Amino acid sequence: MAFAAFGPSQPVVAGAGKKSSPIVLALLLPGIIYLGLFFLTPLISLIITAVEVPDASGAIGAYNYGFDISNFGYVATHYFQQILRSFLYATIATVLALLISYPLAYFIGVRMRRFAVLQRILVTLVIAPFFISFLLRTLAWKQLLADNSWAIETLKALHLMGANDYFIGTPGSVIFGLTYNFIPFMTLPLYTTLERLDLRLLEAGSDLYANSRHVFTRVTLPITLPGIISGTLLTFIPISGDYVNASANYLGSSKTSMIGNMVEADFLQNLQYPSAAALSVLFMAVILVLVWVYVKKSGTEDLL
Amino acid sequence: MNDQIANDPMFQQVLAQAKKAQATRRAVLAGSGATALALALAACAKPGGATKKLTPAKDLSGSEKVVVWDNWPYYMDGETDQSFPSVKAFEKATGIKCDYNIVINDNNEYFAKIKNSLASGTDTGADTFCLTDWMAGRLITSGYVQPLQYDLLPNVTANLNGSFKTTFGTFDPGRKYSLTWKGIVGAIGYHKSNYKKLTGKAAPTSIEDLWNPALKGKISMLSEMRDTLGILMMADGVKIDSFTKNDFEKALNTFSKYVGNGQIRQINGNDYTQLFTNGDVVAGVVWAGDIVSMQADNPELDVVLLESGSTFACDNYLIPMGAPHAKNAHELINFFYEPEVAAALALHGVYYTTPVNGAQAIAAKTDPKLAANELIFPTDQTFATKLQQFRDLTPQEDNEFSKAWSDASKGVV
Repeated sequence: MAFAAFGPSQPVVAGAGKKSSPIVLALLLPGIIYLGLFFLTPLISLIITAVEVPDASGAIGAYNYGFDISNFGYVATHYFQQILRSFLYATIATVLALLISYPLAYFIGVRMRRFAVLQRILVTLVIAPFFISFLLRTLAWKQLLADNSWAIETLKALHLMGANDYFIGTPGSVIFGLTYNFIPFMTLPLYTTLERLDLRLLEAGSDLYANSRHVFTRVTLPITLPGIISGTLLTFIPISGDYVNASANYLGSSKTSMIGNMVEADFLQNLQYPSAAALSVLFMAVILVLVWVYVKKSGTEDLL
Repeated sequence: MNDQIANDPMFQQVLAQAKKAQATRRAVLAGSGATALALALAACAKPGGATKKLTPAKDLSGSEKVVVWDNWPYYMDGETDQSFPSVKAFEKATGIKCDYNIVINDNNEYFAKIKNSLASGTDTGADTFCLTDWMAGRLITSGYVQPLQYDLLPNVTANLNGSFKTTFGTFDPGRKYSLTWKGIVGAIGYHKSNYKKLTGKAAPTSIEDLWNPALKGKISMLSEMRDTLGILMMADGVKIDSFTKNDFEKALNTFSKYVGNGQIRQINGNDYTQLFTNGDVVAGVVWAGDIVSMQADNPELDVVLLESGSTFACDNYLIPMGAPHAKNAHELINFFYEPEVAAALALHGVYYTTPVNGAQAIAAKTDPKLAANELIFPTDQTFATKLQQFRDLTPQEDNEFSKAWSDASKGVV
């Protein structure tokens, strides 16, 4: 896992990196302090919490130091369905986001090159939803797709939905919300790679008698693979941990609970801090392994 | 055009929801942030079980004429424009400035937010807040709240309805630490025409009516365990002031069954009101006061008390040990125990049960129909025959039942 992608492409002159100037250290210090305070400390306390044992008094929310790793086994089996569901929803939503974003990013990044102003406006439009709160937008969808909303009534009138069918609270509505909310995270990395795509390579492909489909699969796709990888990571990871869309207060119901909802319930409602912490640690570990395997398989280790 | 959008009820609702959600999300973040910090600190030193007995903090009421009051939504007049006439009246009468904050959306969430300050006896940011019976009981048992000084509460001594001292105060015998702000009735709400269309009946009369297959996916329940399972247990003929673990499990199984087969579509906190206005649900367990106040905009909504029994619980004033203005908080409680003040709230759209004797008679002079509504002013007869209160749980039961309930309502099987 080298940071080679960000490093210099030429071999470094021996000894050049060993000079540690006080200025470099001073510049690094805020970052190190930040990471130590806001990443390392919570992570350690999370792990400590994950192995705590209940207080003998049995009072709600009372836990003492201990070393009870059975919490991990408990959450892995107790919440198995929700864990599986999180990754399933995340996979579907990521694929949908990719299918929607790629043509969009291609259009903006390649076709619109000649119209620089228009291109910039279109990119702005992609991120425009961020100007409005994420929660507000999700709640608006809850209203727009409610049972007696115009959209659902129309689908029912066209017999595309049964008279008693509904959308809000179903897996479909959660996946819809996840896809919608995270599309910009997919589009932007794709756009940055497609925007730099050298069109002469595509011309060369055509000159070598490749049809347009082959040019796409043999030239465009491999060149833009880094964008696809970073786009999928930027969407898959936050989607699998999302607890807003799947919550019964937004687009979900009790049949769509994901990992985030269980952490929230254990932490804020049941005050079972160890199981909430154990589930979080487990989730992080699974994500790390998945990402590692994914990046290995796709042959873009340089990203890590 | 802009005005049109701003006045659109749907937009208003989305906005109100979002504001609330923002607050909730902030609370979550604040709560987790505070807990992370607390954990980090705890990693250095954690008391080995022996907790010191807390005592009331130094009272600054003499020099600082302010009081901070945290409360739930829909509990004060003039909420839409934040004018709070009743709070203003208190300020005028006593010369104490009151910060009225609508920040409580959920007992557990609010508790998670202030837990560390409570446990250390430091200022939680509020001089008084109103929490539901069981949570009030938890705070009293833990020694987090200060005893009330009744010599500062003459109106309470004069006007407190006896039922609220004994029947509804089992978690605090003699009301030493807590006083009722408002009583809440858990009942069945429904949409009149849609209910008729789907079932052919005018109104639900029993819980069985909600399990009618015609209503599949059109039923919602409250995420408050004591209301939903209380009503389900009473439907089984159980007295919820003395139920057993078996009774609880039986009701929970019924609940899980109907969540599993899709009969119950949503399990929500106060957000359920939106499901009724959106038409997502047609009937369900609700808080009666909400539906009564929603009737102004949605005349199709109605609420009924079940023959088998509905739930009754109270939100109670508590003064934390660390409150810097305890005396001012007493003055506040005393003021709101004046019958005229309590009646004014009921007349101005706060449709929850008041514990203040005499308020009903005053309200009847202006609005006899309102005063006769047993959902807002339950009679002794209503209390005796239709309303029951969920019994106190032991800490072990609290742990076990809350977890089982949370799992069932999140679909963990």
